[in-house]
Amino acid sequence: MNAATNKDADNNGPTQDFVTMTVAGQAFGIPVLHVRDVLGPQRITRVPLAPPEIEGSLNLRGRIVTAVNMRQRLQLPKSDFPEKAMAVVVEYEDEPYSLLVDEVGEVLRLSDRQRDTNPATLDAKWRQIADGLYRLDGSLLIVLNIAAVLGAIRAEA
Amino acid sequence: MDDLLKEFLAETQEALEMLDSELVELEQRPGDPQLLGSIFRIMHTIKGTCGFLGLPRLESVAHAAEDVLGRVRDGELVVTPEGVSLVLAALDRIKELIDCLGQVGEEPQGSDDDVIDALHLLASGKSFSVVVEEEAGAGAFDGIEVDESRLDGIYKRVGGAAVFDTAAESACTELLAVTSDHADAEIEMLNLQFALAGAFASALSGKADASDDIDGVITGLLASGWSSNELVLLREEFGKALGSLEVAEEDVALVLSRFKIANTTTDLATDVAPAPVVDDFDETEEVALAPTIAKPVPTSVAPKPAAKIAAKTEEVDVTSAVAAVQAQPQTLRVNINVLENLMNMVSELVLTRNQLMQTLRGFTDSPFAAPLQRLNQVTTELQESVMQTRMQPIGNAWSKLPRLVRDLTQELSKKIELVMTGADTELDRQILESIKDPLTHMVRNSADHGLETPEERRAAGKSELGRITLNARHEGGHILVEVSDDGRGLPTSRIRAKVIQNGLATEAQLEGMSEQQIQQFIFRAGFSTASAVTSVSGRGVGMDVVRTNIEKIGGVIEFTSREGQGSRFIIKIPLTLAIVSALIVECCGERFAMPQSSVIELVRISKNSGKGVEMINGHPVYRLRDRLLPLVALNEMLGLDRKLEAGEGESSELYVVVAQVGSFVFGIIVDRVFDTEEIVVKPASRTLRHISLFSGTTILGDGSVIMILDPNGISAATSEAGHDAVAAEEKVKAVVSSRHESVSMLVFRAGDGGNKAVPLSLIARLEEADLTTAEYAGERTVIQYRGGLMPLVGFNGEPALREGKHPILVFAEGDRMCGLVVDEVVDIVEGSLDLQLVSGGTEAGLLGSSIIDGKSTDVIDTVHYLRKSDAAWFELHTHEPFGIENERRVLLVEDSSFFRNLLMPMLKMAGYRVTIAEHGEAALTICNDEGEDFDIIVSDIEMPGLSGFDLARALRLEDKWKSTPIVALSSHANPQDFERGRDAGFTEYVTKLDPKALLTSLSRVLAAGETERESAA
Repeated sequence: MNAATNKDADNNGPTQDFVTMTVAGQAFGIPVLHVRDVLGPQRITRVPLAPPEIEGSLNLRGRIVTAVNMRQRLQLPKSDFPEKAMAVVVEYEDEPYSLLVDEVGEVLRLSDRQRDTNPATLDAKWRQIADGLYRLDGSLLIVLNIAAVLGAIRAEA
Repeated sequence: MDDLLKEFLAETQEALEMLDSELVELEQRPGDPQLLGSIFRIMHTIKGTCGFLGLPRLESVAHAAEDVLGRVRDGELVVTPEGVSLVLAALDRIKELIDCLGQVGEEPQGSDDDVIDALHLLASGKSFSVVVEEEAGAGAFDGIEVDESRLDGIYKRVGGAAVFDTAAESACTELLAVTSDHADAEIEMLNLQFALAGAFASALSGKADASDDIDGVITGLLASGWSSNELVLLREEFGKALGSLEVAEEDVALVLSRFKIANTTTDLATDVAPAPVVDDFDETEEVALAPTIAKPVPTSVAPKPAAKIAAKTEEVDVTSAVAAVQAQPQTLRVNINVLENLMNMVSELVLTRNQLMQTLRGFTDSPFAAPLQRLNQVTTELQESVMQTRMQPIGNAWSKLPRLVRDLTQELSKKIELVMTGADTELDRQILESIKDPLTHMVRNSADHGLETPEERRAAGKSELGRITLNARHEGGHILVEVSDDGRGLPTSRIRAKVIQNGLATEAQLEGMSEQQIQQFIFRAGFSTASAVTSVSGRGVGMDVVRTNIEKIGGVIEFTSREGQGSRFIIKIPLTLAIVSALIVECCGERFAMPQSSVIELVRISKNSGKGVEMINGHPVYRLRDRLLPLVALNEMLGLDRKLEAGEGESSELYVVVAQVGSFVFGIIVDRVFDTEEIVVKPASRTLRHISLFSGTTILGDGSVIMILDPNGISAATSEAGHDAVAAEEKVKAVVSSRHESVSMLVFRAGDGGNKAVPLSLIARLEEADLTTAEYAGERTVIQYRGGLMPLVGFNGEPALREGKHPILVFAEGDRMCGLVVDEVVDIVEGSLDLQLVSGGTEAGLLGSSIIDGKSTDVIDTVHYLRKSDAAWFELHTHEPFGIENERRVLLVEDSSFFRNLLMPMLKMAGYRVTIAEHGEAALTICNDEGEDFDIIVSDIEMPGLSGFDLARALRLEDKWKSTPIVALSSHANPQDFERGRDAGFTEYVTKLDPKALLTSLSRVLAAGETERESAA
């Protein structure tokens, strides 16, 4: 993968690539360079006594990855089809984490012109983990801040 | 330069640690030339490197220390404690400088004149006592001293030791390029380079007799097969190298002249000082070397005592250096991170291997089978090798201790000897790091609080020299490290008082605890308060921290102490943390790994057996043999829901993993138990690390991730359940003691058909075997069993008939086994052992009859069968029938549970009320603290800890037990033992293998005692 910031041919200014995903209908994006892997449904081992956001652990080619349920993390209702959850693997402080989301979409190259700061009315919990958003055709894409998503779990623990 | 400096720091730090302990050793063995040589070499290297790197402060301190050591080596100074202290002080200064260097990257400003001046004073012989001067050599040294000032000038002009080192190095490298026909040429060169540089440096820096150094080096070279040509070459190269280091030509010549003079010192020294400057290079070489080659031997055995001594030391030095080089394994410095990385990768490989193996297990004739087998093997070997790289001798963790003890000796004015054994026991470096501090702490504690002052020791009748012993050894996948001292010990009564005072337990709770358990309180956090320092002789300060550190690495620490005799800490630690053997268990559909090291046994409890889990105050317990086992349910601990409430009812059995943490034994209830598996421990994710019940995660062979349970955490969580747990334990004790009277009996049928019984605890195992496969061994019938031969006897006591399939009761003691062939095993019955004696003579093999389950049942005498099976087991004969005593109270002290179980029913049957003590310490507690009264005490002789002799002696000191008969039990009885037993206070000496003889002598002793008392009255 090349640099995340490119000069677009359309001269729309600097752009960034995002892996997009949806959680309970809401679109989220993570900068492409932060994503290590995208996995289909996995066998996840429950970890008793773990924080509620932690779904469990899974084995990714010999590495043990901690699975974080994004619905739980975003305080959204539980998924109707938890067994179909897709996993986006990211690295945080040298440890791999897998974010369980409903669906993983395509990689989008988005121009900085489409970018906006967090709206003031955004829920406080969401505001902490959102790094701004992009105006797409017909929807909004929230940029996830990995450190905020995962760091808080540790802080609570 | 930066890398160079880093390497220097690492090397020097290691060298300093070595110096520390070697210097302390030197103090004890002042005459050891090898030790001295090694110390001198290390110091010299430090000095040389410092000079090379341009570290003036370090160099000057090291130089001054080296001077002192040099004079000691040359026999001019003798080793005294003050001298060693001074050199150690210099080492400390060097350490400080090095530390600063490591942090800042340069030497700190300041002066070391204090240390250096003291060392100089020492070197000049003003404070070290000077050796009686060598008379014969005096004149010779005078001759050399004449030009000393000039030589000293050269040394400085040339640029000091660093230059000589460099020159010697390049000379040797050059030489190596031309000649390589020596085996180990490279090592030899290194060695030579070093010797040469050292010799020149000391010769030219004005050491009176140091010309012998060069002489020694040359002699050494010739002795190891160097040709004269090579020596010439060496000299030439050395000169060139000096020249290229910008040393003035005339100085080079002067230096090289020493090369020559060295060989002829003996001749020259007696008449004149050598001509210092030689103009013609080449000629000098020829001239100089000729005599050496011609007659090297006479030169070195020159008839001058002083010179001879010096030459001798040097020779030893050279040979020992060569020996050291040869003995030294070829080593390579590797960054720890690289090793860690390697370890991780091997772990991955092991996991992948496991996965592959598991996948392929289903296919019998896969084409992958053979290569996989190979892969398996290679992986295992690789894993072992990599583990090996992480292994380090435990001595590395001890290296600082001799110095520590020495310093404490002076600080506390005590005499302390530190004995270390098993220093080469290897263990994982990760573990090594984590026990370093606890060990240091314990040794400090022993020296500070454990050992008494010389006066106190004298008063207590001990030798003034206190001893601290460190011992490490392997024991079944673990390392045992013992730290013990022979000091004043820590009486249990004081721990008890302290525990109550600090509110760690109530008096009632302590009542129920064994001495052992009470002693472990010193590891409790609340124990080490400030007041504990004074009132409990300071022991226990910070011990909770020590325990925490040890337990963190899966270790266990125990403490035992005998008042007046010393204390002992025993640390049990796993060999490695990275790969462990684990038991896989299931609970509520989830699997967990449990480190095998803390699992004692597995128990399956069947709900139909009627012997299930009982509740005490809401806490589940289980009767496991002769003790109650507190239980915890894993699903409750982990907050897991049973998926089907009904399902639980259906399963008629449950599994209990009996685990031990420290001395706390408890059972963990799980749903299923799988196999054991070698697992690679991976740290849990940061988000999960706070859960104390887990110690990590791992991936199983089938690729699934599971959590590793932490027995320490579980045990801690159990005790956190509060006083309830303690209360439950209390009740457990109560139940155990009330259960003394009831015994589990195995009822079986054999022989003439009637029911027979045997105490269950005497049976090691139940087996079933087809006797047609049995074999002969002489007269006996044997079967192959667990890799050995087990004799089989029939119920009639004869060798078993080789026919049919039969149940076999296996009795075992130690590694001996015997099988009793029976017809049928009927049941296991819990009952009181109310034996009726067999009337009218003894029927062979029967102890008596008992009413069991409403039926008269014969209780068999296992000893009879054991004896039948193997005459050597018990070479004994039974005697006349014994008399019956009513309600005599007997204290039976016996550490072997086999004999306890054998003797207790016997004694009971004979009408004694039996109290059991499992070891001498427990017996003392029962006798003295618990106020029990006994008519007679029967004690084993060989017991761990307090032996029978010690026990008898201790009891005889008490008024209460002055006249109580004490009978010794021993497996061997010879006249000396008998005598010794009487001296210790035993009334009688009986061999334990003959229960009936024991009963006879018991009644005799008791009768005699009564007669005595009556006549006295």
